[in-house]
Amino acid sequence: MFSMRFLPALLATVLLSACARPADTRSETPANVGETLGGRWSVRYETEPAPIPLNEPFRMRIEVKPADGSPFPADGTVAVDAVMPTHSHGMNVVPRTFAEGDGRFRVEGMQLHMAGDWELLLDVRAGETVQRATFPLRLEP
Amino acid sequence: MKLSRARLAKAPFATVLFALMGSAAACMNGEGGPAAHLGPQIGHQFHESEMRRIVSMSPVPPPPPDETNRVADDPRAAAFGRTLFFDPLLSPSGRFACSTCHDPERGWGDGLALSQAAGITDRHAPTLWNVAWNRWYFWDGRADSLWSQAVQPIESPAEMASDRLFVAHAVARRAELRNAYVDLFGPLPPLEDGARFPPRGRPVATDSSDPLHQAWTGMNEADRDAVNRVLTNVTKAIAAFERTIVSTRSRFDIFVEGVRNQDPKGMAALSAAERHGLRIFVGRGNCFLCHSGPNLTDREFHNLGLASAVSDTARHAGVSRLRGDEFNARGRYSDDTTGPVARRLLYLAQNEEQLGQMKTPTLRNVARTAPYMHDGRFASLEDVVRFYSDLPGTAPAGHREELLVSLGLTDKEQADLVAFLRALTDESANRSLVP
Repeated sequence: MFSMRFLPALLATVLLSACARPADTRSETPANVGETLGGRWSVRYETEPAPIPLNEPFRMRIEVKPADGSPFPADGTVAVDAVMPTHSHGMNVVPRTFAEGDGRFRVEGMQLHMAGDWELLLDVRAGETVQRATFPLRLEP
Repeated sequence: MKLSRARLAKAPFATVLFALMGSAAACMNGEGGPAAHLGPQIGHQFHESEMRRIVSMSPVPPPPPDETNRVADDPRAAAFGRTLFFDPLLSPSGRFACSTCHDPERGWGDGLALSQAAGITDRHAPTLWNVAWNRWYFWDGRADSLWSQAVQPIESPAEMASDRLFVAHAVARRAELRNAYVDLFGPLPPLEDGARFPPRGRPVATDSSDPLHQAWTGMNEADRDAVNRVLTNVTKAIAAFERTIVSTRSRFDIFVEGVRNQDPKGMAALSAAERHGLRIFVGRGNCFLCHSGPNLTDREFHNLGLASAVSDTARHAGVSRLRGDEFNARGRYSDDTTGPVARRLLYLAQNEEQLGQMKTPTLRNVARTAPYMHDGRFASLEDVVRFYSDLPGTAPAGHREELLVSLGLTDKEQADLVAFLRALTDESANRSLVP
């Protein structure tokens, strides 16, 4: 039986969902979990500091898991990039990625120098195949 | 507007619906609702998102440390550096000092399109206001610290036309300078030994037959290193002085302080026209995207399509020169080769995007730093704003930043944007720096 008691919350859910945007880096729960296009990998990242600061260096920790539950392959690597699609440019830095075992990676030297809409691109390579996870995010001061 | 679902479940229905209608409307215009809490005069003029941007531009925080320069914040070094900055003693002609092109009476620039000293340079002299906050130096960012930057104009034939051996001898010759140097950095090398330390000399990468280069390469490696130490100690003292060239208190800062404290008197520091200009700045003008942060610069590089020629590879060439600079933050003359400043070099990108890119200048005191752009092509702020409004021409080098589209500002909008830029002038800025 539908209770009127929950109507405000339901309306809130509907209206707020309809307002979906790229993850605002100031929000409390950034959308930092996803899967690669093709579905082979589940990808999760965290940043330090969080949220991502505008135009300052930050570090990332990435965890990649095969969707089928198998162990992360020994030859698996991750490459990280970020682009501003509407500006047709990326970062002014080339970050470095360090493998820490079991599908965990640390990324040093990230920096997003402009406010606006960015796409964080995580390419997971294993053997001859590469699959990309794309995380849209909006950077504001 | 932030609404947690837990709070919403407990709220009265009408309140929630009203709040959500506001939220949905804000969602559609993408800017958040009016900043109504600031009162009718200000709050209805700016959206919340615009206010977030505005308050991120003030106040100016303390300058970032420069661990690559161990005397960066030593007042004795700043006093020594101040003397060196204004006195032409470091130029062999006795005519040129740092202040020749960085004149405090001309906004710490020179008022010229292209700087002139011993010759004519190919770039406009950038202001030194708040220079300590820069990440990179020169329009093409070919230096990564204030002290390593200062080496280049000293030795440039078009600027002070000096050399590192002359600098070392000049400091050693005058007792008060020698004493100040020794007090800060320890003993000078035995410069009085003319056989080991010729009066003039420096590396000349473009001409190994140059007498200056011959004299330099004729020295043994340890003595060259000792002279490089003197040179970089001298420029570290100059940098310590330049770090004190600080502006923090424009009418815009007073306005933001008023906004933060919800103080109507502070908020009245900007006129209606200036506030309108500010709204264009953080809104549809998109000025804020590059002129961000407390110094109104992202400290990075962009291509406005203004490169003088295809051959001007700007930031792209700047990256090559920075990597090859023996005085960069990871080099042996840096006082911290692994810290935050040095680490920037590890992640430095070089790509085709950088062709034609120049550094975003600060806008603090911009009304006093005419002319504008890397080649000083625009005489007035009105010319600059008209350029962004109309965006004529194409990029000779690389390609123009995609986001740059002509703004089509009306005459009134252009005038208001200029009015806002003039409100960035700091009337109280430190005049005691000038001798």
